[in-house]
Amino acid sequence: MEQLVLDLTNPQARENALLELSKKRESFPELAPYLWHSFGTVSALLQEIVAIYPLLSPPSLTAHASNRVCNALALLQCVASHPETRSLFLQAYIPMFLYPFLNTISKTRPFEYLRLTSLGVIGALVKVDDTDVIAFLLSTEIIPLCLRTMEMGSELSKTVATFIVQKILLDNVGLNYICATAERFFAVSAVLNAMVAALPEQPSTRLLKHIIRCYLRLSDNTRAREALRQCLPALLRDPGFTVCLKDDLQTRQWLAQLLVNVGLQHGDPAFSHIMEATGIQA
Amino acid sequence: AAANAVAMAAARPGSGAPAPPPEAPPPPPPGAPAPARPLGPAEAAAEVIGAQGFGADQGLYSGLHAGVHISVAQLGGAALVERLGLKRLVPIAVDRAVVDIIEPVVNRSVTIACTATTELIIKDFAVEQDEQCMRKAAHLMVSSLAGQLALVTCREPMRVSLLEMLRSLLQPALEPVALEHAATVLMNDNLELGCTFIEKAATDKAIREIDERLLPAYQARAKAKAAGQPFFDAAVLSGSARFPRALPESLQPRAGHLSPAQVRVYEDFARIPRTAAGFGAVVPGAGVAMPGPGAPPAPPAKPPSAAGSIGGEGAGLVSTGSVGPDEAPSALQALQE
Repeated sequence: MEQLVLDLTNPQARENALLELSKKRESFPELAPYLWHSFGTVSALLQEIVAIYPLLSPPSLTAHASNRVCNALALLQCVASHPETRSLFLQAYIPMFLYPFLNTISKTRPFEYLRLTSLGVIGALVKVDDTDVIAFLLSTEIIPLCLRTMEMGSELSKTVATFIVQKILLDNVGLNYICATAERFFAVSAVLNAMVAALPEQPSTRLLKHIIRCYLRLSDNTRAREALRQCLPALLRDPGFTVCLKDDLQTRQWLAQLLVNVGLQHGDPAFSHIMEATGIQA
Repeated sequence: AAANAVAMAAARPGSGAPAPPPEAPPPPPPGAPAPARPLGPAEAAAEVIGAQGFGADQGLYSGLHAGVHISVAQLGGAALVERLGLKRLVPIAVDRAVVDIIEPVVNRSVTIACTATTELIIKDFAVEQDEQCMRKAAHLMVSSLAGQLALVTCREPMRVSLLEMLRSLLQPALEPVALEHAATVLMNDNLELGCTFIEKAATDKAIREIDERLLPAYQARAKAKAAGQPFFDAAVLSGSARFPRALPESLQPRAGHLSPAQVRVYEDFARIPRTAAGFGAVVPGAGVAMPGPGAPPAPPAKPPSAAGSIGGEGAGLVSTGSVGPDEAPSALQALQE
């Protein structure tokens, strides 16, 4: 593995090293600190990233170029995930070099794959519930970028972007930030509402699960809860719609709690199939 | 309105995006929104830019005017170009579009590029004795990063702003259909000019700023040299963290000077193509050269643990066709609780 890390700084050997290391990255627990602390490796990975920028607009990213940069991103995801390199990764603002990828709109496969892999790096950062990560992300444009993906991405991109917003909301700093102004709250709730409205056409239980968790967390904030009484999509109270959650006890519990929080009474027909297994009292 | 376009291209969707919080969180907000500024004629624009610290020299601006392009034939001939006064109006439009978007784009690009460069150069040059070697690498890296970030950030807002400026300047003289045609032709003629100007402003500012940030590191090396002492960045090499000391022998920093191969890593920043067209022109094997269209694509990596907890059904999106792994992409790892 050490040779492969060294190869990343050799232009002739880099492409193969990117491929091999990204394939094997799970089997080297020390890969992230090796990548970060060895000479020039992260700088070489940054070269891979910015070299793709000219292909974003007008869109001319090939499958090959997309694969290659995604392998570089997979290595950065290791660095983002590892407890000994995460804060160094943030301190050097590396995540912000991925934002131009999240800002693309082309629906072709190379772009879709690039957006998804970039979201994966941010997802790896937020997954660890570190409030420093949330504070960093909130100081950047990540929320608008996630909302944009939630508006127009593929089902999988939407799911990962919603997961990132969910993790930001679960942190108190994140919840306070998003509920600090009506404009921010409505920007988020409008996008969540639009995703719910699109679900009957293109059902996705896993996306619905993250959406419900976002609403539930928003309802922990007093003013947001008041607003949700008015703007929570009626579909979430429609047993015909929520029946898709019948095998997901966790999400049914979240939904039941959400409906209680926005003021539904115990006898409401919305609860008919959600409540029986959850034991939540309205 | 075009200042909003910058913010949008930098990040924001149309849906009323959250702005940075009033109580700034730990890292400084790199994408602070631009204040609205009144537009002036070309001279005023140059003053505004100078006052804001972007390429204060007038030479940069005269270069901008000299580069203005007008596709006379596409516009319907020299007589029309003359009647509309395009030689006077187009430079004004370009100036205004540049002024409209330059500040947030340059500030954001420079902040991000300088931060990444500072952190990585300090780490990688911890054993390098020669401050000139360090300085040169820092300049190559920061100008490449700032320039690329500025270009990728400004292209769409520049398109929007330039079109808007051209429309408003030509609107009194043309019917709607002709107006739209002329504005589009002239926008395409001068889009790269405006973008290149902003790129240049970003790289110039980034080089000034990186020298400020790295001044203590340059001075420490010069001081060690003057005293005949070897330089050694103790803050990097002997902190309380396990790394870099826990690196295997082959990855350990060597005292003294960097090898030519190591210096080459930073020189490669100068070899990154700055336009899509540049990709074909790159010498194979140099820097981050991409193989040409004829080269066989490498087989995609398969992130091994990705398919896990969400059942592998995500594979549908990226599994078939030429891009993407055969299993669910690594993004799905994020969802594994």
